[in-house]
This record gives sequence, structure tokens and C-alpha cells, in this order.
Amino acid sequence: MARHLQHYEHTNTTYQRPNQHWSCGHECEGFCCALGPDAAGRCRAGYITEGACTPAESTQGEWICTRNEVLGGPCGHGPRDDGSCCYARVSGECIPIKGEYNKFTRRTTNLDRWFCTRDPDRGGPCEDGPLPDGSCCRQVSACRPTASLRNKRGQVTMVVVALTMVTILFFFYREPQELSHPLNPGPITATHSTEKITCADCHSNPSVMPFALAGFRHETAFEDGRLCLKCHEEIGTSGDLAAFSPHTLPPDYLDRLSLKAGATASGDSASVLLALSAVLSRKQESVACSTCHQEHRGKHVNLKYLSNAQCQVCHTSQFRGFTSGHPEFTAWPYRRKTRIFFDHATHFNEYFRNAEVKQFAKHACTDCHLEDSKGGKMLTRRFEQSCIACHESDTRFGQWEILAFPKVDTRHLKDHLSEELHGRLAGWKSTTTREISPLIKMLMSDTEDDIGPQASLEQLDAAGRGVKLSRLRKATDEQKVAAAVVAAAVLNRIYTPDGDELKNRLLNSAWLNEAEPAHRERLGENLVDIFLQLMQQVDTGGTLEGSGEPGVEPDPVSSTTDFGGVFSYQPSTGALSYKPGGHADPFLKAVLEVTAARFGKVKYADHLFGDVADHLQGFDSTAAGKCLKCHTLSDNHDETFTINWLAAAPDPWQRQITDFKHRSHTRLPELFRSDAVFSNEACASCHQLGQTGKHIEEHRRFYSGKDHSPHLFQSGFRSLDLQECASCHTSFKAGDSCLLCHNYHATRSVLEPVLYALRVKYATGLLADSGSDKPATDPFPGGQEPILPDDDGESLIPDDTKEDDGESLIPDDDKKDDGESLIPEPGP
Amino acid sequence: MKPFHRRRLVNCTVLLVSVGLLLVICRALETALRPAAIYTGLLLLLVLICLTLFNARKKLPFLPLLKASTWLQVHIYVGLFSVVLFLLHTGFRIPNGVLEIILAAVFVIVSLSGIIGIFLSRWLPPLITNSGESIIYEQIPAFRHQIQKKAEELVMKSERELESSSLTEFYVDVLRPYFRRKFSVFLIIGGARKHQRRVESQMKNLRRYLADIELPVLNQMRELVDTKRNLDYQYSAQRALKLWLFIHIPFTYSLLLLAVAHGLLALNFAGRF
Repeated sequence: MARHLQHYEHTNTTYQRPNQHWSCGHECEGFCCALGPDAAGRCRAGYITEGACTPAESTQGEWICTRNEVLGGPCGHGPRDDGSCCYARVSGECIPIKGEYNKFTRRTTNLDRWFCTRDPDRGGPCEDGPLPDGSCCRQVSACRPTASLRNKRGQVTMVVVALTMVTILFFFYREPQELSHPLNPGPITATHSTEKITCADCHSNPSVMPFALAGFRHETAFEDGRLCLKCHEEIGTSGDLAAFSPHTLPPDYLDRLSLKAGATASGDSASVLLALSAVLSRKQESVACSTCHQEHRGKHVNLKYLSNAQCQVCHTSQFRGFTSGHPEFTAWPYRRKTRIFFDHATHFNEYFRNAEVKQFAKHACTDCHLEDSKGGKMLTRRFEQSCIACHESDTRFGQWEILAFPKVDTRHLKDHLSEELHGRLAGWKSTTTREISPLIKMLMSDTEDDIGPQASLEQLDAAGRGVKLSRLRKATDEQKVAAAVVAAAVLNRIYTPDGDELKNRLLNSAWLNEAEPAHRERLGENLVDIFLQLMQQVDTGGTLEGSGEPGVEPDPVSSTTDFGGVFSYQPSTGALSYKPGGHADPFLKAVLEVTAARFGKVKYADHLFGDVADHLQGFDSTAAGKCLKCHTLSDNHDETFTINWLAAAPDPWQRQITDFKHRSHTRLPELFRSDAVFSNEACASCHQLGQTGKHIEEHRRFYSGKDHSPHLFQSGFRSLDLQECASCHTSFKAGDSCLLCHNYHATRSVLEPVLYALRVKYATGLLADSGSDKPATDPFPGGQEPILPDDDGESLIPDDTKEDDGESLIPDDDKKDDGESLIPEPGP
Repeated sequence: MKPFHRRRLVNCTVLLVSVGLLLVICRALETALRPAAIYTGLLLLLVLICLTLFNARKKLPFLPLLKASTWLQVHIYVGLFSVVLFLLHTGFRIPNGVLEIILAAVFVIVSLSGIIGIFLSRWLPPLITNSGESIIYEQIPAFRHQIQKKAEELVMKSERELESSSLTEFYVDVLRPYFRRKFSVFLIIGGARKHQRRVESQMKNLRRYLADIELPVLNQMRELVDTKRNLDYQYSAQRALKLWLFIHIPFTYSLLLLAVAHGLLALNFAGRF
């Protein structure tokens, strides 16, 4: 036995090549035939080779050679008797050939003789040689060729590829329409997976054949996004490109925010990864929905999740995290003047310590504040719940003289008036010392007919302090003429006998003609009617002119009306006055609202406003009702003002970019050792009172200095310390995700109010069914109990039709306020 | 340091650096809210095509396209890179869609078979060398038949010349089944030695019953048994080196087809690039 089995010399080996597809079936027996299987895997033992031609049978029944002329034409032998070509022969250990090839001379000789071609490694040419017909004399037994591994692998590959193709064709055969289609890349979130949802509901190009490669088109994402907006109307309408603007905010507003953020940046550098991401980010003015919200990742995936770095990648000012580099809090205390002025520091440090009012003092923050329905913002309670104990008298203070016949120096006008007119003016037993009232001035300057009196008024106003309607001693003749014109106009156009002229002038005045119908009714028709009624009580003659007997001073008459206050008429002065009936007096509210809305647009409206509000004379005014002591003005920047009757009542379903949830924080027992939901201790941990003086001084300046900038305001609270929040809001404790406090879409939620209402309905239903005070199961996880409708009938679902509180859908620092009231607070 | 080790060190370093860069870029793309899955998917498809070209390169040996060993190294390390790329593409999650699950499963099959192939091609060759004479796989059946025939001749001769049937009976009972037996690829896990030891143990027991004149024949038989053991091991090991390709190659083509379908579908529906 040789030690080595394997030989590598080609003459001593029957090496089967691995790239051959078929092997001889005798291989396992140790000997393979020299021919081996053919390409189709058939054994070539006893193989009959093809001849040089296909013999044809003649009409005489003989076989004729048909060899091609190219190959030499018909051979000399002719076909065999059985009709086969004479060149066809049976193989054995070799396939004999005709002729002998000399490799040295490279010539073939003996072309008519068959030669053996057996391989030298198999013994070389045999001694017997081929048979006469050219067949091999040494036949081999047939075998069953076996496929090589390579061949088998190829077959397996073909099968797998075929199965794959079938699978793909099966998947793509049917257009994907519903979620059960096998091409669905995964379940969509439970919120989106409605029963009848189809691919076309979310994809603008739901077809797979032919492949549109829509992904390469930048517009595709926005076309898909418009389909999102069909349901998410709170983001925008489907044709509204502004819906895709970053933060759903107007670009110019966003630019302002960016500038502000840059100004308050901490200067801490962002991480390298964030910097690289910023480079890779697509700088675009519009952001498609799918940029942040990626579906088909499972039913319970949070589509709204974004990492802190993802939130920052578009921002111009980037930082490492909340505890490192986050801009300091500047949004609170608010730098904008609050709608309701209230000096916390003065009240708590001075007033509430005063023995006289100590009994009315508020001790708990919740005495004046309550949370909104979401537990997010803190609102301000209404006047009747929080302020009335001490401030009721302020609401009934003083009275406003609406109309009064001015004092006219008739003695110096004798030469400038007709006798009849002079007589009528002299007939007024006027004891008033007032000049012509602003309302009369305004009514006399309203029409083209008033050009004369208007010019005369202006002339008198320009005359200086020494010359007035009531004091004409130093007046020139021209000024006396002007005074006579004014006095005659007051008598003929305002104090007319039947009051029609006054009513017409009121209703058609620029002051009232654009006012709300209710205000027009109150300040036009009702006012004149009351005036006439009071006059009738004094003068049964029914005229407005004074007709009392000389030397007899008639008593004033008064009338209590639906307005709540009291109108009174003083016959001796022709003065109609009004004394407010308390907080939110509708008449004064109407006068102030209408006048503020015409402040700089209607001549003498500013005088009228000052007359009723007395604001131009200082903060500590003696004006009727002292409305503007607490209710601040908002400059509309068009020479008009809006009076803030209500404390800020942000829409609880309006998503601001920054959102703080008071309830979540005040319920942390480890932070605030109190069982109360909103304990003073809890509130004071963030809201610390500051200095008093500057706060109130700014408010004084606002009213006295005519500086109506909303930023002329100094809060009575100290700034919030970011580190106070950062002590808990780390990644390992309370979390430091941007999404805890910030929203991307500054829009109004549509779904949340509906869900909230359903929860309230469910909770109240449980209460009714069980007959207990508490629901059987807690429908509000986390202990969030609903704020049920209050006595004032305020709906839990904010109603857009309610009086606008001035809170814009667009979060604006200029518009942010003191987080006040959902409960409407009446006017003065 | 041996060149082989140096090459491995360099290749591993390049792979790690590439993977690190890939991780950073993917993370940055995700942070930048760019469709990282689209980019990684396209890159993965490109990588798969490059990996498949290795097979084409083997079929075109005449082309001057670097050495096959260089291609193999690139194939191995790019293949490992593609595994990381795949994990990043799927977000380290099991896909949810039917097509995606099939695609992921096929990728896992191809990757695992490739890794098994690397392991076998590194583990078995030294064992084959140490096992004994290296035999060309395609000739092993012939040699096996040859050994069996040799053993039969030896037994016939000893019976004829020594007039003893002990060896013949032993051959019929023990050795002939052993020589005829074909073992599976699992013989590579220590099976060959076990069978050989069992047969040799029986031969040792037989030795005490044989005459001295029969012992040389028994020794020759023992040599044939050892040769058969080597042939069996060579056969199993070399077969294992070839069989893993039965999974790796067919599923590679399947993977390419599925990946192209998935890519077209994703680009069509993703809506952004």
C-alpha cells in the first residue's frame, strides 16, 4: 500500500474538475470512462457519433451520401446498409478518428484508416485498434452520471431565485390599497388605523406599478403632507403652505424668534454631533409632516417623539442640554403689561397686614387663582370672588357728568348775539362753572354743518387760558364772535326742545356710527330718552331749555335704569350725570369701550375718554368707577386702544411653543410637603415676590405719561431660576426632553377638547350611576380631576364665539400675559 | 508580526473606522431629520451588489481585476460592514411588514452563512492538513473504493495463503461496514477519530486470537483503517467547506431581488429623499 494516495501528475490522475457539472457514475468505483458525461449529463458509453451527413434514400431504395460540398462532397464509401452515415461510429474507451496526426509535421496522413485515440494515461492506443466501421473495439459499461456539487448548487440557486421572483410578483400583482396588503411595511399607529383607511388616504402616489420613484421628487413629501392636513385641520388647510412652515408659524415671526433666541443664547457650544447634524440638515423654508412623523413603525409608536438634538438641529442657537446651555427663562415674569393690574407685593406686604383689611385678606394663592381645565395654566378668579371684599367701594365711586350746558359769559356777548338768542342764553340760570363738555364738543364737530362752530371751538381752544366761553372779558371781538357761534350752536343743535337733534347727532356721530348695536342703543337712544324723561320730570313743558322761575332752584331728579347706575339731571346746570352701579357697570363700560376704540380717530374722543376715565390726570384719579385703576389699556398702534376688561384667559387647547403644566409640578410631594394641590409653599417655590415700588411706578407712568407701550411694565415677581428646574429635570430624574415643555406646532388642538369632554361626560355619568361622590374608576389617570362647569356656565370646551380675550393663536411674547382667567371677568 | 496577522489588523482597523464613521454619519443624519433609512438602504444595496461581484469575479479569472484573495478579503470585511449597515437601516428593530420580514430573514441567512463560511474556512483547513494526506475532494470516492478493494484483496489473500478465517470473519463483521460507510459532514466534529478508535479497539482485541503470521496482515488492515479515517475526515471537512455556499449563494441572489423590490417600493412611498 502506497503511503500517498493522491497523485498530481496529469498522466497518473483521473482528476475530476470541480467546475464540471457532471461526473462519471463509475467515479465512486475508482475508474471513470475517458469520455465522461456530456453537457446534458448523459453517459457517453456506447455513444453513436453523428455522421458527416444524413443519408438520403433514392427512389430505387438506395442510400445516397449527402455530405456538404464544403466538407468535400459525397464520400466514396457511401452510407451503410442500414442508412447510417459511414462516418457514424460507436464510442468505447475512445472515439476513433480517421487519419493519423503527426504533431511534429503537423500533418494528417492515412486519411482512409481509423485510428485509436485512447489517452496515454489509460494505456494509449489499444493493440486491436478500431473496428472497420470506425467504432471502438473496447466498449465500456454505461453509467448514471452524477451531478457535481457546483451543478447542484446552481439548481438550488435557480429554485430559490424562482421562488423569490414568484413571491415578489405575488406581492406586486395587486395594487396596495388596504393595510392588510403584504407590501404594507408595518402597522400604523392605533390613532391612524381606522377601519376604512387606505394607502391613498396618506400617500399621494399609492401605486407601485410603474415605479414612479416619487421619493426623488421633493414635492412628494408635501403632496403627502396635504393629505395629512385633510384630517389635521388644526395645523392648516390642505392648500395652505403655511402649515408646513417651521413651527407652523409665519416666517417673519420665526425670524424674530430666532433673533431673540440668538440674543439670549448662553454661549455654550453644542456637541460635535449636533454641529455635524446642522451641516447635514436640509435648509428649507417648509417642513413636510413626514420629516418628523414617520409611520409604519408599530401601533404604539409615539409619532411625536423627537430627541433633544433633533429639536435643535434647525435652531440658530444650539446648546448641549437643559442643564447645560439652555437659555435663561425670560418669558416669565411677563414683560408685557398684564391685563389686570395687580401689585402682589404691595398687597401681601402692606395691605393684607393692615388691621382694617386683614379680615378680608387673601392668604392662599388659590383664593384668587385656579388652574385651567388642562391643569396647565393658572387663571385668575373673577372680581366677585377675589377682589370685591376690599374694592367694592371703588366700583361705586364718583359720578360722571355726561352733558352740561356750559357756562356762557353772556355779559360780554351782548353785542354779538341777537336779542332772542341772548335772551334764551340768559334764561339759563346756570350755576355751572364747567366749560363746554367733551361730548358736546365732539357732537358739534361731526358734520359739515358744524364747520362754523368747529372752527370757533378751535379758535377758542387756541386763545389760551385767559379766554374761555365762561370768561370773555379779555377776548377779542373775533373770539367773542366765535364764542357766540359756539354758544348758539350748543343751544340750537344740542339742547333742542324735543331732543331729536341730540339723538340724531349721537347716532350719526363718528363716535357711535361704527359701534356695536348694543352700544349704539345704550349711548344713543337710551341716553337721550333718559335725558328727556328726566327733563320732563322737571319741566312739564317738555323742553330742554331751562324754564324755572327766577330765584327758585329746582331739585335734581334722578332715575335708576337697567344699566345698574343712577342718572340724575340738575335743572340749574342742565347737567346729566351718571353714578355707576358697581363693578362691570354696562353704561360706563360701553362709553369707555366706544371712546377707546375712537381715541385718536374722532376729534375730541381723547378728551371724552379723559373726562370719563380721568386717566390723564393721574393714576390715583377720582374718576367714576375707577375702572382703569385695574383694567389696563392695550395700544392697538392705530390711535385706538382696547380696554382689557378680562384677565388673560388663554385657550387651554391652544398649543404654545412653551407649555408649563402647573398641576404636574404642584402634585409632587417630595418637592412640596403639603397635601394641597396648590399650596402657597408650592407656588412660592417658583413665584417669589420682588420689590413693590418699581412695579407700581411703571403703572403710574403708563397712565400719566401717555406712554402706552405694553412693555412699560415691571413685574412684581422675581425672575425664575433655571437651575431650580434643572435640579430635577435631568435625564436621570424627571427627564430633560425638550418635549416636556415645548410643542412644535403652535396650533389649536382639535381632538383634545373632544376627548376631554368625553372624559368629563364619562366621569359625571359614573358619578350619577354610582350615587357616590367619586367615580367608581378613575377616568383621569394621575389624579387629574376635571374642572366641572362653574356657576357662570362657562363651558369646558372653549368657545370661539366668546368674547375674544385678545389671545392670539400665534404665541407672542408681546401678547403673553399673566396666565389669567378662563372665567370671564366683567368690566368696571 | 506575521503578514497574515498584519493584514488582519489593518483590515479590522479599516473596518472599525468605517463602522465608526457610518455610525456618526447615520446619527447625524437622523438628528438632522434627514431620511437616514433611505440613504443607508441605498448604500446597503450598493454594498450587496459589490459583494455579489465577488462571485462574478471568480467566474472571470482571466480579467486583470486584482487577485482573488484580495477580492475575498474585501468581500469578508465589506460583508461585515454590511451587517452593521443593515442594523442601522432597520434601526435595530425587527421589521413589521411581510416583505421586510422576508428580506430581513434572507439577509440574516446570507450573513450568518457567510460568517459560518468564514469560520469554516479558517477552522477546517488546519484540521484537514493535520488529519493526514490532503486529498482532492472529487477523487475521494475513488480512493475510498480503492481502499475497500485493497482490504478485500488483502483478506482474500491471507485466507488463501494462511488458511485462517479469523481475519475474514473480522473483516466481514467489522471492517467491511466501516470501509463501506459514508459519513456526513458532522464527522468533522471529532467523529472520525471516534469511529477509528472503536474499530482499532476491536482489532486490538482480535490480535490476541491471531497467529503471529497473521499479525502483519492485521497491521496492514490497521493502516487501511487509518487511511479510511483520513479520507472520511477529508470528505466531510471539504464537503462542509462547499455546502455552506449552498445557502450563501442562492440566498444572495434572492436577497438582491428582494432588496431591489423593497428599495423601489420605499422610494416610491417614502415621499422624500
